[in-house]
Amino acid sequence: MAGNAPYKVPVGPIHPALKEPVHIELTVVGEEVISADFTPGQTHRGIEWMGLSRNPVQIVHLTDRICGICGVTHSLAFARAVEQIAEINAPERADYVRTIIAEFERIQSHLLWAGVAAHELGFDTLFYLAWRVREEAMDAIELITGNRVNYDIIQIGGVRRDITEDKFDKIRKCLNSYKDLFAKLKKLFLEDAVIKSRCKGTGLLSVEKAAAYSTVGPTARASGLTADLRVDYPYCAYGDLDLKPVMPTIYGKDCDGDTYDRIVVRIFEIAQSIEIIETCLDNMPFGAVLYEEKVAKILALCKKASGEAVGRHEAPRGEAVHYVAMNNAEAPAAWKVKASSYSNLHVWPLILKGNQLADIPVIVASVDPCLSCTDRVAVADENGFKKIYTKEDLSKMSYLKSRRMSE
Amino acid sequence: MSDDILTPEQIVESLKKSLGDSVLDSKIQIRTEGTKKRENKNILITISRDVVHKAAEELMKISYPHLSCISGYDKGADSADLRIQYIFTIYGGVPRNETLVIFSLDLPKNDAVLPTLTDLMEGTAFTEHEKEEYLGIKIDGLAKAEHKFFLPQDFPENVYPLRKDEKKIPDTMVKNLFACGRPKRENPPLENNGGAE
Amino acid sequence: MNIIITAIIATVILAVLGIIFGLFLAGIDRRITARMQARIGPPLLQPFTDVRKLFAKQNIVPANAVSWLFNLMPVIALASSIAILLYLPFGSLAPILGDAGDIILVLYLLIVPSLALVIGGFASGSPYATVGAQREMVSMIAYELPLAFAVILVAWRLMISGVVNPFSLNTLMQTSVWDVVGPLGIIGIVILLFLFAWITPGELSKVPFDSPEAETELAGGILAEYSGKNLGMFSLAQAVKTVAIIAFGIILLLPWNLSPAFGLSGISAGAVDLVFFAVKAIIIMILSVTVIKTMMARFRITQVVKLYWFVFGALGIIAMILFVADAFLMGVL
Repeated sequence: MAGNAPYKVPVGPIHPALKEPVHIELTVVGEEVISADFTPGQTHRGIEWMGLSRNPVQIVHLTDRICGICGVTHSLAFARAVEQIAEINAPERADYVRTIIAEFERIQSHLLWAGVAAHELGFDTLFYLAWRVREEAMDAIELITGNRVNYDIIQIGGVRRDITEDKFDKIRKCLNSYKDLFAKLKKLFLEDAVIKSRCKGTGLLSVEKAAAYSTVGPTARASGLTADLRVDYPYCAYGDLDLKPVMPTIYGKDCDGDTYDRIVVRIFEIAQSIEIIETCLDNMPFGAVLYEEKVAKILALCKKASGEAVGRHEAPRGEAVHYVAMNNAEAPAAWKVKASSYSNLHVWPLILKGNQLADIPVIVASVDPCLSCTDRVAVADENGFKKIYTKEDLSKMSYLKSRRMSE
Repeated sequence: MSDDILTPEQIVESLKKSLGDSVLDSKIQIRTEGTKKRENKNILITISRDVVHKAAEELMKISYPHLSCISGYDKGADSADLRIQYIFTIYGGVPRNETLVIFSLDLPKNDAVLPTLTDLMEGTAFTEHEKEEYLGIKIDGLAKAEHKFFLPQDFPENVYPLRKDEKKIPDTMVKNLFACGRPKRENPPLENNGGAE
Repeated sequence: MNIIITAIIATVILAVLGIIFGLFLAGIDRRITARMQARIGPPLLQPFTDVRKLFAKQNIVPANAVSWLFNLMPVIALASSIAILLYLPFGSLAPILGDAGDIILVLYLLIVPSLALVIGGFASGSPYATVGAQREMVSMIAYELPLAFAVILVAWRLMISGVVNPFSLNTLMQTSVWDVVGPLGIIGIVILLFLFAWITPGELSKVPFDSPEAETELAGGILAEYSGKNLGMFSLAQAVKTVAIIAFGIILLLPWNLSPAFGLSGISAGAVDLVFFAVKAIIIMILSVTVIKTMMARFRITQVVKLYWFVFGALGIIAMILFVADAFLMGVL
């Protein structure tokens, strides 16, 4: 039996409310959560470790695989760090292409999040709507990069593909469809009575705690911190734009730092991203998109470089940081990835405490956690014995499975 | 804390003044991108390992900082030191003025102990735990965690993924999938049989 | 002896028909939900396939479950749901046990499948199921209030109009409450219809009242540990319960038949009325389950209680005042 109150409700690592593996343990009395603990690191992949035996151009492709949603975030941050060390300046047009693709990423990521949040609230109709309209952004990303998920568009010293004039029309069409849709999204997410009653006043994060925990992105902004790298720390084409951080005040309310404010910030950031892309399309400078076309020359430059630098990018979830140190060698001496959720996850115990069990999924989702992917699978058989399939086992099983399918 | 926004040079000056000889090296990197070439500011400061806590305190006097993370690497199997970076930013939230401040320090492997910053900013615990798990640094004053945060719970003791010396990941833990090969077929399909295979 | 055999045969036929119709309703629900969400949705017969699949699978009993209770509860849920059908008329077909029970009995019987779920949830020994079972109990207490309002008001109104034996289902079949009330009473009945439309999803644990099963919070809650045949049994019980609660609503508030209008009698009348009943049931199901489910997010359990007690409870009181005033104006009180 589950035992007497207070009893423990485990959530994850595999749970319908979580799209990614993390283990949260809630201590519950009745419906109220009195304390929460969390254990990430369920699927440590050792990407940084892998990177230390690869050269920067290879690592750029590795960074694309860090996260399936932030397809450009990590490669952009890493490329910017290496460019600083090797003193490579990306052409201006490349800065604009990077900005445009990063903003499309924000649109699709926020819509994905909005859908997940609606699903957590049990509002599946809204989930289907959000994910359906997200397809337009995915199509635009495919048009620009050729890929829907791992974009692979960033290269050290620029981007691997230009956005040519003939693509502008389709991109603008996509943006216009989002503009028409925005009022509807705003109404559905922000004016729905049940969403309001479930999200207002839950998952509170005060501005002091938000600062003390160094939170980033929409989570920080919903709590009242104005931090937004795109505004504060000019990089790529963001320095050319006159941006203001999106705060909950944009919807005419105070920054309470609750779940509802996080929805407000994300929904309005979609509108901001549309504007940014339009401005960038209108002001695209002409010229090349790569500092150096030949990969061998880039590698030679990197090999000669030594020093350290930090590449930063405001990902959809907030600041992503890549610290790189190079020392006249092919592989970097150090590479540290700080994904945006790294700075947000650890507020969970704070914001979960004292809330209703029913609101836990949406509060957990409200910081938009993004923990990435598989390293192994543990299977418990009917007698409760655990067998862990190693990568070798899984690799063999996948060979056998595809053979069975082709037979 | 003052309301004026200090330039990178002034920040370095101020830190040098308060930390004295403990500032071993400082460098300002200015980077410009886009067509308007607006500057973003990065300060790299090397300090001696004893003044980590004081450096954070001094930075706090300038402006309430944001700690992106603590990063670190092993300088090599033959080196006696780890290199640790405290990646701070200040003036976050002030348009076009956010300044990156990185405190770097060498930490001897045989005395890998750093003070906790949780008394200044309680949220630093998470990244400090990471340093304990990845690099085997003991963080002095950090409450012991009930479980690991970044590594699998059954990860072996005294192995630290980012170390390059004898505490590094042993070769037996490295899985080279290409090396495990394909399972043997009992009945290899005929070539060019026109089938789906 | 003969009566008993007839009753048994009728029960079996009714059970089979109830299950088929219930699963069919579930298929319609899923299909229409999908269309409203701009999806294609599964084939109409998908619930049948699902149940067939479940019955082909093995039962898994968790190590720390009370296994006899755990295995017994699906049977009780299904049996009690079928038992409700025996007391309900379908179209102009009189209830099999119409003389042996009344609507108060039906009210009680409607609780049994939910209770079976609750006990099964507690018996499964999973924290998700335990929280789910607690929530199911709370929501049972919540929706009983407006349900009781609806049932008792109708019976009371019939009684003071001089109808003999107003709680009997046979009486309800023959006398429609719409025939005895005046204009104010009609407003009252419309309110009761509205209440019933909101009680149905609560009774069936559908969004927005699905907190006992809440997929994203409790991973299926009460049913989290059920699998295979046991889960199949619960799905059947749910299907039958859908038919039962809708049939109950129909006999209380929408009892008309088509056959008097066409002047039919005998088997043809029964068939026409049965089809008309099915059409009414499908429409009610779409309006009160599918549409509400599609347009709402899930309530917290505390919000469920507030809604049922205070909002719908207040509506029930308004309906009561209207009924009393109506009875007064009509001169029967």
